[in-house]
Amino acid sequence: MVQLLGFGSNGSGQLGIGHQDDVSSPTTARLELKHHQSIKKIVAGGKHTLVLSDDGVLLRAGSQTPGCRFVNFGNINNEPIQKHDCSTLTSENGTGLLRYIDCAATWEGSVGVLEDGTVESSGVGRKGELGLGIGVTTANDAKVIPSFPPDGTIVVDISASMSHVVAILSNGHVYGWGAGRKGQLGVPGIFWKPRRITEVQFRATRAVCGKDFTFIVGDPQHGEHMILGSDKWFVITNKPSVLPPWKDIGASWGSIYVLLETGEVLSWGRNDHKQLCPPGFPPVAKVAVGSEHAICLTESGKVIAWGWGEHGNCGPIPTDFGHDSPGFEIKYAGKVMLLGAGCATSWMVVSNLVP
Amino acid sequence: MSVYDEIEIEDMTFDSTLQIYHYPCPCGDRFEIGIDDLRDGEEIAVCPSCSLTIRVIFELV
Repeated sequence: MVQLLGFGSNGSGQLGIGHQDDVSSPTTARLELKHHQSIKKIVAGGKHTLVLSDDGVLLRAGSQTPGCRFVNFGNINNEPIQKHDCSTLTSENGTGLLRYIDCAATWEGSVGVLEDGTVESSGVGRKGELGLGIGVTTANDAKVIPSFPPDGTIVVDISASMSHVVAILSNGHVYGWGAGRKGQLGVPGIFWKPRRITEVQFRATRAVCGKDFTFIVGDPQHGEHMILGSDKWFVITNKPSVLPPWKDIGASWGSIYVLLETGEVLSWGRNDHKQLCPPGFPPVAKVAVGSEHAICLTESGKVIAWGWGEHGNCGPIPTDFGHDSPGFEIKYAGKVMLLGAGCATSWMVVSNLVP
Repeated sequence: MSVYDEIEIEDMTFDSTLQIYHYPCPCGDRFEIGIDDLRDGEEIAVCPSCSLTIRVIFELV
């Protein structure tokens, strides 16, 4: 049995913990998972959170902007926890019910990848974030992005930041849509529907989005990578020429993080709120990156968060440190299965809670 | 006073009802500044939920 714990910014109920107050210690989300069910991805917009279960249910907490047809959790009035039934929650797409296999969130939008390969979008996006075509800024119900992905391909990875979305296809091609005035989608401009980012010269395997940039990587063993967009905070200037073999990648609004096979977290970019991985850090097993903070699980089982923690998203910070955490341990019981981080929000998926 | 970021006004969103420009804040809320305040020479947009502020980059015409 796993439990979702959240802490941090919660003014819109985005932690799903039954109220709208910030908390600085991991607090159980009002979300009932079945005994066999786990969580495979947590993503967040400004005021909403998407939680994807391993059996294809997309759950949502936080502000009810249009397009919230995923199952909601964490009702803010402390009503009894809703039981959810998978059959009513997956997307109905033509002939039958489909499960979600991946998801991403922009500031006010949600993107879901379905098991039949289609990609649907809902919410609000004033700069093309929905990917539904020129001038489409609102989708009250999830709508399928037309003609995407191209025939013969599937989406194998999807990522978003505040205002743009980037998808990696099974053939290694990269597509993106949304705000791109800084060149984060290749040529500068707003892209209302998916654009192939032809500027990428290698077979891509993953991408992560910062606020005004995109970090695209190739084979984890080959070290290929590319950063498109703004060089603010020297995120491009300070990049390594080749990446050592890596396990995972992440991006905050202004920094890039690469978890290497050795357990070292390579990070560069913005550091004015202690966003980068602290020096001399112990080996890391998992890392999740939010807007201006990061949370990690060390190989020895400690959870440590660092960066801008004004809302309690890095745990309690002693007054002497102001709002910026140099990396304090987050106390918990059980085994961490997954970490998540959003806009001043942090999540831990923990199993086998000790009574 | 140190600001969190400097944002060009063309990247902000104008709300014609409230007569404000706004832009996302990393806390999940948003920075806001009234168009009248901008006309008066104010350039700092504030977030009602946290201590961060941004400087709006614009030219008075």
